[in-house]
Amino acid sequence: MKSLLRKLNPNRVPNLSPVAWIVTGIGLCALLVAEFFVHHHSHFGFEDSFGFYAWYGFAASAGLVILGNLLSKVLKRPENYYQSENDND
Amino acid sequence: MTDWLTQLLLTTPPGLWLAAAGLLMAVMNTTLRGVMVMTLPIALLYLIWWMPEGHTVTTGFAGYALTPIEVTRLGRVFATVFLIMAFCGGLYAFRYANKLELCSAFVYAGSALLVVLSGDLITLLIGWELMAIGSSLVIWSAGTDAAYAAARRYISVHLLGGVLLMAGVIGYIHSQGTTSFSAMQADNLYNILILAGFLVNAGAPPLGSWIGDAYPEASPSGMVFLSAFTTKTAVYALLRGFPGEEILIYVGLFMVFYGIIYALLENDMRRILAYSIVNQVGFMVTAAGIGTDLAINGAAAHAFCHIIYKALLLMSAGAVLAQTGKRRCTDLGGLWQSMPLTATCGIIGALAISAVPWTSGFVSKSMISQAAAYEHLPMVWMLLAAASAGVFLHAGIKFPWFVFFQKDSGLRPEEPAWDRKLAMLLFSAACIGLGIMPGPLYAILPFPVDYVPYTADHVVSQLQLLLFAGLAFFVMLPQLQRTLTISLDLDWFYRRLGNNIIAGMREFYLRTEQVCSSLIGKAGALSIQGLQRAAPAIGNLGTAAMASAVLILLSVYLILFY
Repeated sequence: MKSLLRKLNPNRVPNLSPVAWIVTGIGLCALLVAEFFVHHHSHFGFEDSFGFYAWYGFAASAGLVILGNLLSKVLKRPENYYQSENDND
Repeated sequence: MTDWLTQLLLTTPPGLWLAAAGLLMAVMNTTLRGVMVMTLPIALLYLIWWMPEGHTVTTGFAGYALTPIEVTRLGRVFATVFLIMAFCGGLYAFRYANKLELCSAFVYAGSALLVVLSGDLITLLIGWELMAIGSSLVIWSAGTDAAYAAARRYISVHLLGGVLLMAGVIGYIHSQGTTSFSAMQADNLYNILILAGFLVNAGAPPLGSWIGDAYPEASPSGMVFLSAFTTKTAVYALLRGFPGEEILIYVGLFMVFYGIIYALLENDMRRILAYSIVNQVGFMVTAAGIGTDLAINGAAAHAFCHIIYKALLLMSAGAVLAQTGKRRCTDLGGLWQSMPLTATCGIIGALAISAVPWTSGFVSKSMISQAAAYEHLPMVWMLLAAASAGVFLHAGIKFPWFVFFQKDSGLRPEEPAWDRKLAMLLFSAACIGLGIMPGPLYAILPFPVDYVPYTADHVVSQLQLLLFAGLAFFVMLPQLQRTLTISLDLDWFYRRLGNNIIAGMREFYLRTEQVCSSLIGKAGALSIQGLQRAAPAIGNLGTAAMASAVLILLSVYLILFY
């Protein structure tokens, strides 16, 4: 898992001890296992499918990051963009 | 207690005590000011709970009926958390903030209290305007050029919002014949104006850029105060004035995602938290739009918990700013080693805002999603769930990660002093305490609560949502690296485009004036030359001759045409 993440983004993977990685991995798997034991009270009919919240959380976060990066191409300006207005005050 | 004292306490709006203290603190010495800051909010907290529920005081003013005190269940929730905030914010601030900041913060808090514990629109308006002044001074008191400029922009927007509100209130009073503040619908011009006024203070588009623009320019302690009152008073006003107003659902959802996206793009750690305020207020505005008992309960509970955990996050960020002098994520990192307590408190705040089970966010925010579910609004529910993942992303992980971990920036700042540490610890305890025992909070909510937050289903679902969102964060970390940039907001239209248009108009006017005056000058010179050449005699006439010539001409005119 750690080496997979390293391949995806080298130099960025947090430098945690192997124990932390194992605990994280076990935690994520345990949550998926819990799906078998927990009965979801569904309102709409789709949110009680297996692991819905897990993949929805992942997809929503990834989607928001991507959306943010797309918008940044239009919205980003250097830090001192408004500085000239301050000089006129 | 003697009779006159009881009467005085029962008939003076609690907010006025706080605001008056703010003014008096300007002439007190430091010790007395400290005593006031530590004791008055607590005393007032006792006072508002000693007043019976439904306690109302009416009076007349200029022919209008005012209700300066009306203790509603909804108002009391907000008043309680405002006073808690005033106390802890004061503890965090009073040894560091300058006199102007402390005094204006108390005026600000007092006027917010006035709004939420009153029953008529005129008192609301008075409190609203006082809040604008108080909060602008809090920003201005930071003393930097950026703060001055930001305070000017801030007060301009807020006075505009106040004008919209006032126009609506005046029209409403005259068309409805009453001043009392009750639920209304946005179906006529005056009500729409009132709604617009409320939404400006809530930070809704298009006039909501002031949150991201002005708040981060305040001092470390100033922003803690600012985060609590203006936006949450607007939430109270929306909950009381426009529950179930459908457009609020869309406005709220926009605010939710605007906050997340801008926070993800931002480099300044306190601006991240400012956008986060818009995001969280968006949840409350959406709940106001849903308007059911559960939704209103949820919004009130969320406002209560939000004030506390947002203040905690800002206290943590403020401590970092005060101890390092740095505010950009690119300059920070690795502070966990030398500021473990600040980091831990910041992390607790981050967990609370993300609605991790056993923190205050979990027992409050989820009511809003539940309300959407009960009203059979699947799109709203889906978007709120996606937003919950997004909150964990930008506030739950991004803020602590980039400030306290990530890389070693080489900075080794010390922890702040005992008072700031105590303030952070108190609010951390509140975040966890409310998460473990939501009972007391549920008991003071406007409507009876039969919502049960801790079911296995709910805890497992929420943990799945959050932890897999966290996985996405680390997988996409390269896309999240901070750049030395800002993101353009809707205020670009008046800060850049508007400025350019006016500058262009000024240029045009100056050029036109130049051209015209030179033309007139040349024409004048030409005509004089022409006259002199054509009739030298005329050019040499004296004044008396000219005057008689005019007299003759006028007489001829009179005779001919009269």
